Amino acid sequence: MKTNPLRPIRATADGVGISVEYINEVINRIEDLVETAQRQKPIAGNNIEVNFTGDGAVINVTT
Amino acid sequence: MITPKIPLLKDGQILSVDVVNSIIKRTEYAGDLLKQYKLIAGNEMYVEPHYDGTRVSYLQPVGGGGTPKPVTPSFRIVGTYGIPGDFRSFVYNGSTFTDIIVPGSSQTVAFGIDGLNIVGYYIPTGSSLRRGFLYNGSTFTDIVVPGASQTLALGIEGLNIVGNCTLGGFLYDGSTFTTFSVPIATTTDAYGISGSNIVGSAQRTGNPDFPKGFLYDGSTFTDIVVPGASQTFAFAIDGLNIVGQYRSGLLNTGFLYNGSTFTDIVYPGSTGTNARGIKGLNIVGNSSFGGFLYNGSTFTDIIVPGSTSTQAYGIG
Repeated sequence: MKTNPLRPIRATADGVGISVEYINEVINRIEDLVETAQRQKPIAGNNIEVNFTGDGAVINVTT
Repeated sequence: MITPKIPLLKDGQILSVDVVNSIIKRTEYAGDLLKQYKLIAGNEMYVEPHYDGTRVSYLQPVGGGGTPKPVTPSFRIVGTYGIPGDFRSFVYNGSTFTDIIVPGSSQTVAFGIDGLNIVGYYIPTGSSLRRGFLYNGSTFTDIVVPGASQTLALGIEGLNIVGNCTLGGFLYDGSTFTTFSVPIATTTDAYGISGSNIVGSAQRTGNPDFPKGFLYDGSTFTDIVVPGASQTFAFAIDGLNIVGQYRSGLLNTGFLYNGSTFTDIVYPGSTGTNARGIKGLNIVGNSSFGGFLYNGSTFTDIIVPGSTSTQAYGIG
């Protein structure tokens, strides 16, 4: 992950103020999460097959 | 559902419902990816969450938190190795080399393997005549062609064993020996069998420097000759695929033949390569550096620790 954990927001007497910078931190954090998930896509190596289903990636030996 | 990457906000931009919804959708997309890429064990596979990742193993669960056990490969490799003053045979299971020694022999050579069964030949102590053997993991059984003074068992599949003897090539089906010879050949060596097909090489009458490979289906012999080669040896067969070695000039090169195309197998940097055994996509052979396992893209050295040389002959 290239980004750091998000800071929790706090309420003040005037309510909740969220800056553009903070929203961009949230966006960067989500994009980092998407990129990490994409990198962890299982890829079949030798003698292994991967079939993607709605519940996950089923791995089997082919020989 | 695939969602587009979220553009960063600019100074003064309003945090609209659309922006918030795009953030929510992109977050859900990341969640979908993680769900889709969750590993699920198929047949004989095991998937276990571990503190440092997801552990995948084959055939046996290894239990979370412990030291991972080596994955047992679906094949073993046999061959020979040299140590100072001695020469031995081995079977390798992917992690351990185990000696194969026929009791009462001065030399044992393991050539072929299929499952638990290993074939080869040995020289009884005090003799100079070679005898074939079958080893099932606990018992050695002689494989000797009746009437032949010497027998070498070189290949095995199921109950069928092939090799050569002083009478020519032979097939042993567990009860009957059948000998055969390539027409006009002076010698016939059967090295491998798959189904009803036998491969080997034969030295030709009148052309002693030109051994050719052959494929024998029980009735017809078909030449296996690499185009332009001065020598071709067909050492093993698995299904339609045949592996062996050919000589061109002074160079020995391994080959894979799929019934229509010859593909060179060359260990990088070696002064010569042969391919001796095949099972599925995996090929074993030898280079000037020692034995190797080749999976179609990567060479893995098969070297008995402490040996002066290692030769890999069979995989099964």
